[in-house]
Amino acid sequence: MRHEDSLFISSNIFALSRVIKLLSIRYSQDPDGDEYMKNQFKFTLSGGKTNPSNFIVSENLIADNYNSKEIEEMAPTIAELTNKLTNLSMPKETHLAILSAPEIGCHHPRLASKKTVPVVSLHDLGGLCDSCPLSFKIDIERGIFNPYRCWRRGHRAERFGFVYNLSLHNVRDEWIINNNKRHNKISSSQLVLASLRSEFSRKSENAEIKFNLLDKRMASTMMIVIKIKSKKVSQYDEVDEIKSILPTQMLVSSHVEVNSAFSNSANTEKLPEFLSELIESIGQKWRTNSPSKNSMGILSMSVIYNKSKDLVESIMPSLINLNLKIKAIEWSKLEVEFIESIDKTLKTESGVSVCLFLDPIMDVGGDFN
Amino acid sequence: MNISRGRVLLSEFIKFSDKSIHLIKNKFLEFTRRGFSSNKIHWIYFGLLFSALLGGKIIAIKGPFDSISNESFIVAILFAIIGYLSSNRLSNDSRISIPLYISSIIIILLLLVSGFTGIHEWPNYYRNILGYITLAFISLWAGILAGDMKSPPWMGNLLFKQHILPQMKKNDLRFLHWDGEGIISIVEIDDVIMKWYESRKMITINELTLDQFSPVCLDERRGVITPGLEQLREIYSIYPTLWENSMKTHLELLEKGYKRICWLNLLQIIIPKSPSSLSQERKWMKTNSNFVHINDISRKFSWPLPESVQISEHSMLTKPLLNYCLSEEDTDDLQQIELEIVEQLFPKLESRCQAYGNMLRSFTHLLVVLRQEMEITSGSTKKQCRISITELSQWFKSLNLQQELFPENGRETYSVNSEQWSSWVDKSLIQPATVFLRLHDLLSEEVTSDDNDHQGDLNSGIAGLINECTRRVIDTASFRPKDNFDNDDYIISSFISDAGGNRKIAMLVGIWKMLLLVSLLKRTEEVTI
Repeated sequence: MRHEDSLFISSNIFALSRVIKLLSIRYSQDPDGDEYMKNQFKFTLSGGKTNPSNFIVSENLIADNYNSKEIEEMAPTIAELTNKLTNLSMPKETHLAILSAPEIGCHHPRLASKKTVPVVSLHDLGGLCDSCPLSFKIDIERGIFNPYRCWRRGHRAERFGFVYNLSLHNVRDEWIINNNKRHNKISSSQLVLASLRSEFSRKSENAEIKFNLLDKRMASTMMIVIKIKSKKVSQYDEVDEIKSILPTQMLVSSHVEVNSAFSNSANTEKLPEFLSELIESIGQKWRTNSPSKNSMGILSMSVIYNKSKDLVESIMPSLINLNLKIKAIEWSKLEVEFIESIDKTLKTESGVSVCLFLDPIMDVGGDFN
Repeated sequence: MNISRGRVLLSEFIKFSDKSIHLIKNKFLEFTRRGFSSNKIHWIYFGLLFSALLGGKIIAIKGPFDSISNESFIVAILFAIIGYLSSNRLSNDSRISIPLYISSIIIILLLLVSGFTGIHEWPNYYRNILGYITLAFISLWAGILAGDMKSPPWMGNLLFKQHILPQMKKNDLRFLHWDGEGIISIVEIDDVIMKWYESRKMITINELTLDQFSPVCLDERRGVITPGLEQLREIYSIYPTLWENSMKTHLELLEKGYKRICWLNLLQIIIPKSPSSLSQERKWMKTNSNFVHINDISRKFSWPLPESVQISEHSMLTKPLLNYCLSEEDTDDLQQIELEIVEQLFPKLESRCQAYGNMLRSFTHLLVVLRQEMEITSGSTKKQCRISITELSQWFKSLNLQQELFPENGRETYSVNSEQWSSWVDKSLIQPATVFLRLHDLLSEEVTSDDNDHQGDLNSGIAGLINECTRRVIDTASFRPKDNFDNDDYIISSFISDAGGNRKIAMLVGIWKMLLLVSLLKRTEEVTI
């Protein structure tokens, strides 16, 4: 993979992640978490200070017959205090240690066997959230893009989901990411898009991207769609843009020579290697840059195709080697609305799109790093 | 040789005659503008009365008044009224008063000469004419004496013209005029036509009220303009107290004009051009100067802040400040001068000039209110206001590159008056976190509203601003000095208190920015914080 491709994809993923992180400080992933997030945000704005008077017991409430030593002995340990507080309903409190996992909609199968699971422990590496993807599967044929219901992965508020479409081209027998605006699109909620536009406007090199409002039914997923252009492009630049426009306008230019290679089939020999390298790189970047350190990178993949079975067969072995859940699905088996969001050209043209389902996990209370 | 010498002489002569003509013309103009002293009027009046009495009394049988009829009463009343009503004009404008004066002297001479010689030998007709003319002139001068010129300001005006103006010229002082459209000009003392209107109790310079002017010192060599009020006061002090009292109105009006120019300088020059200077202490402000175009020449304008930026008048609080200071017209529309400032500050933004204009107006009011707060408070609040001004100024200058924050001219935009800012500033200083949160929600609603799908650029601008403000607060709030200074309690505590102060300042700066934006897009009554 070329260095500029790697840079292009990583800077876009980084921008997406940065924006989501920034918004995660103020907005909840779940509608039930709005009140909590509001308190959390207020708490942050006020300098992260808790009013100690909430925890002070008035002297007149302490019985006279207790002396200070007895009071000291009666004082609970930190663990006991956490345990007690976790079982109390404290809607104004913002500390994750005293919120319990069921309160944030955790439905991990192992939760029932545990006595008390504070939310803060879910954020530990090796906590319940790390094993959750093994228990719940994405099944796009049945319309399940996000099988989770918790505040961390569920995204029921439909604020942070996105679909990032990019496409691969074969130029002079080399596979590259097309960084043209027409071939790069990020679809998301109004909230994320507005911040993304602002983020991208600061970096002129990333300005070549199109923004779209995401369909509500896809708004809880975080997905990257890689479209594989099976046509070969001899040299893709501004001249090619003009070349492609001229015939449709019934125009001819003697200065621009239309290359016959433009419509030739692409050499797919190097594609599997390039694709697996690209997917690995995306997974790695999402794991390190996503809005949570618990991120698993890519949870699963789907290869959606129309007719191009040869191409699918050529890429599948290398994708299977990536050790990710993968399934090849013919486009007609998916609902039309989903195909519209993933790659609408598949409805009419032959082609292949690889959908990477990124781990949508986010930290409760937002990422302050 | 002789020919060339002749040419030189000729050109010298032409130059000399040109200069002479110019000098004579100037002297004449100066003379015509100078007006007439009351002494001269009193003397001429006395002379007329005396000569009429004398000329009339010596040959009583055949005097100038022996055959004038009852209509003389009407003539006397008519001329007295004319004299009374035009007292100011007749006494101030030498083009009229000089002929009147000369005519009066001729009449006096005629009366005296004829009284001692043989007026009785004159035909009745001539005697009657002389009688009527004498009566008319006596009545006219009486009217003039009873008119405007009877008042002390009239006297003061005369004294000012005859004594102060020459002194001002000698001390290289000029008048600075700042008109209702924001255009600044310098009026040379030679070009000053000063009048006192008794009926309107008004003094004018070249038909413009005196309170639009202020004395200035112009350093031609360095091109620097500084206030000249102190020098004028010094000139005043050399005259007797009685004179000073007579010219009190002039000084008061010029002081008013000076204060007006202090405000206009603040609103029209300092805030748009160097707003950060408003955060400085007053003693440093004196050295600040900005370049302005005066009479098509770029000059350094060094003018102090108003003595007090406290706004107490209701109309000043509720109206756009610049409109209020420029003119009394009751309009809230953007003035041409405001659009011109916007054009200078943010070139190439013609399609968004209305929004930028309203932003400039709100920004001006906010800065004045913050400065006011800075002057009346102390300690941390003063510091918060000072840093707010500095940071807002830097942000305001960067708006040129943030077009996405401003809607196109088609969309209605609004501005905020000083009264509203005072209330918002008070509330924000007390409860910054709550206000910040409310503004955050208000602006987020604007971004996520389905009605605003079409305004992608504006949404991105708003989102960018919210993110920037929030990030800044969180960055300052999450400052943890303990990691670095584990063993030094003193440093920890001082850093913690600094972090708290910085967080509040970051929050306040965010509040001002968000308020400026939200109030640009929504009506004030829709902005509940």
